[in-house]
Amino acid sequence: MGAEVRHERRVVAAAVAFALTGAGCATPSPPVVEAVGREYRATEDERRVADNAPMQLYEAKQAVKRLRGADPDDAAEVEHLARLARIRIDIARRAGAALAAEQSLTQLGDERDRMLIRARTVEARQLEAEADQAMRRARLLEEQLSELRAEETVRGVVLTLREVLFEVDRARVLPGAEVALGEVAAFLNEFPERRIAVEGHTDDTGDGAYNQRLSEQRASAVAEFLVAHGVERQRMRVLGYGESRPVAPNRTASGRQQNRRVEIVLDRR
Amino acid sequence: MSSTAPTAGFLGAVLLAALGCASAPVPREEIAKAELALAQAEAERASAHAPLVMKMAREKLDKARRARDDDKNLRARRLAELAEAEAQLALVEARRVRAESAAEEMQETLRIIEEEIGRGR
Repeated sequence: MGAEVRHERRVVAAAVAFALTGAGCATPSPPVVEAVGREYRATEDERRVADNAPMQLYEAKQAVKRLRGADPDDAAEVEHLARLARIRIDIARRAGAALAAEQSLTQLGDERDRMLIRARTVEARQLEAEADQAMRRARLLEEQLSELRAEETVRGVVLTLREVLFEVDRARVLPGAEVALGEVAAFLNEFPERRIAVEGHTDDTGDGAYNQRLSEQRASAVAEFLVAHGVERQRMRVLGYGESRPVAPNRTASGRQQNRRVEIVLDRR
Repeated sequence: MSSTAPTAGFLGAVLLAALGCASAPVPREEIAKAELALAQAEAERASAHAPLVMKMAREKLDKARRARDDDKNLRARRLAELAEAEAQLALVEARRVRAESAAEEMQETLRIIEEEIGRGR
């Protein structure tokens, strides 16, 4: 807004200066013409204007030329052309600034995109580092506990608990298994922001519906134990899959043994 | 040089000026150019950032039309030329203000992103 007031003031100053020089006197070159000429040259020297707004600068130059070509005795015309030239010079200056800002904007935009990529990369690396950490811890657990196997999958870290934790055909956790499950609870709590799935599975012997129920009960039993050992219930989803997800062929005894399991998944974040 | 000649010339010029120089042609082109410049400035909503200059430009165009209707063609031409220039000034000023604000905002965005990266947990 200040710029507009300046514009008005310049226009008035030009008129006053002109009146003072004596309208209509036969002066060879009215002072205002020289003044405008100087203002034009100063603007021409500004790199921002010369580089960014050559067209507007050219228009200003033409306006100054027109001013110089005016009959110095025609006061009104000189005054008019001086006003016009000054506006054109002002336009050139502001166009230079506008285009410079627009270029800066483009460069800043590129910089922002680069930074966002860097930020994502940093984040991705951090997530990878955390995933690695979880898997390393899980391997330690695996070494310590014979009842447990650890694996990294697309879902996250999967701990597979063998059926020795349970009484045959029952859903109660055996006392001997408490140490192992206690370690599992401690492990899960080292990654408190991650969600957990507790999933029960059986082999295919017997009734499908019965197996479904048994798998749910076993998953539940494990989940309850974990809750009792400090794992937050809200983190967990507890499911039974019955015989529907075998990991080994059910026709061999060892295969069936592998299928009888509970899986605890520590979700990828 | 006699002292009456410049005086007579001066008086003549004043008379012509007072008559609005009826011998000048109707400034159709100048008025059309002013209208175009104002339309372009309005299309880019230049009044949002340069309201005073836009107002002055519109007023001059109105005065130019009225002067033309009054057969004051010289006055009309001058007003139209100024109106055109002022409309273009408003347009470029609006662009400047918008570009500079956008650049400032972008700087701020960069600063925030940089902080986030730095904070990088």
